[in-house]
Amino acid sequence: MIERLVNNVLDVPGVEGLCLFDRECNILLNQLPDYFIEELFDDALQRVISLYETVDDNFIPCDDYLIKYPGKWIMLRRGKDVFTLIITDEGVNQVTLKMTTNLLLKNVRPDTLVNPAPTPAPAEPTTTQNPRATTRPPYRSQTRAPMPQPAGNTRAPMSANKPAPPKKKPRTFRGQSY
Amino acid sequence: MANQNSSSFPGLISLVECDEGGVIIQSEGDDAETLGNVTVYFHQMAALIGDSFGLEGMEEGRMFGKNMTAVCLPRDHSTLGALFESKAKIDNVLSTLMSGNG
Repeated sequence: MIERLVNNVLDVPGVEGLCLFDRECNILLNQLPDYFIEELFDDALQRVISLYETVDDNFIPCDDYLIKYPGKWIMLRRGKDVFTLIITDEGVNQVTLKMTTNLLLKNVRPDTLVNPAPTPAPAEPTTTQNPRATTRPPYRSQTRAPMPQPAGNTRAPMSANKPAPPKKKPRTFRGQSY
Repeated sequence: MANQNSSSFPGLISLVECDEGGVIIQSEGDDAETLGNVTVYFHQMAALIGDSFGLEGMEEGRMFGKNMTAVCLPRDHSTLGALFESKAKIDNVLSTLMSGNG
C-alpha cells in the first residue's frame, strides 16, 4: 500500500520526486531524481527540521511549507513522525498534491519504511497495460529503496506453472489513462 | 507599501517589510515584529535549502499554519512578510499589493 501511496504522489503531473525522512534526518525513502545526490542534501534535511522547530517555537506551528524558486517548487509537509520533501515543477496542482500527500502522511510510519518487506519480482504485464511506466523518467534506479520498478527486461520471467497474474488496473488521472 | 493598509485587504492580518538585516522598514497590523523576524529567517533558510538542490533565487515562500498562512516575498533589497487568515484569497491580495507598489 505504501508503494501505491508514494506512486500516487509521484504520478501527479509536475512532481519530480519526493523524499521521506524522520525527525533525526534519517532518509526513509528517496524517490528524488538521481541528479540530486543524497550526500549533498543531507544538510538540507537538517535545515528543514530546524525550520520547523524554530517557526513552531517562535511563531505559529506550521505543518506545511511551499518554497517557490524559478521553475521549481519545494513542498515540505509534516506528518506525525514523518516529513516529506517534494520537488515539483512550478504550477503543479497543489490541491491534488496535497490530497495525495495527505493519504501518504496518514498511512506511513518510520518503522514501515526503514526495513520494508522485500517485494517479490512482480509478474507485471507489458507496458501496454501500464503505459505510464515507459514514460516515467529513467532516473529511478533499481539500486534505490526496494520499490517495484516499471516493467522492463530485468524482471524475472514467470514460471510456466504459475497461474497468470491478475490484470493490473491501468493508472488514470482525471479520467485519462496514462 | 506605505500607501497600503492591512485593513484594506480582507483576510490580511499584518504586513511588514524588512531590510536585509531584518530591521523593520514599515509595518501594519498585529505583531508585525514577530512576523518580520520569522519572514527574514524563513527567507534565509529557504535560500540554504535551495542551495542544497541547486535552486537559487527564492521567489516566494508560504508557511501554512492551522488557521493562518504567512507569505514571504523577497524583493530587491528587502523582504515583505504578510500574514493571512487561512481562508483569505492570498493570490488576489498579493497581486494587488505588488501592483500597488509598482
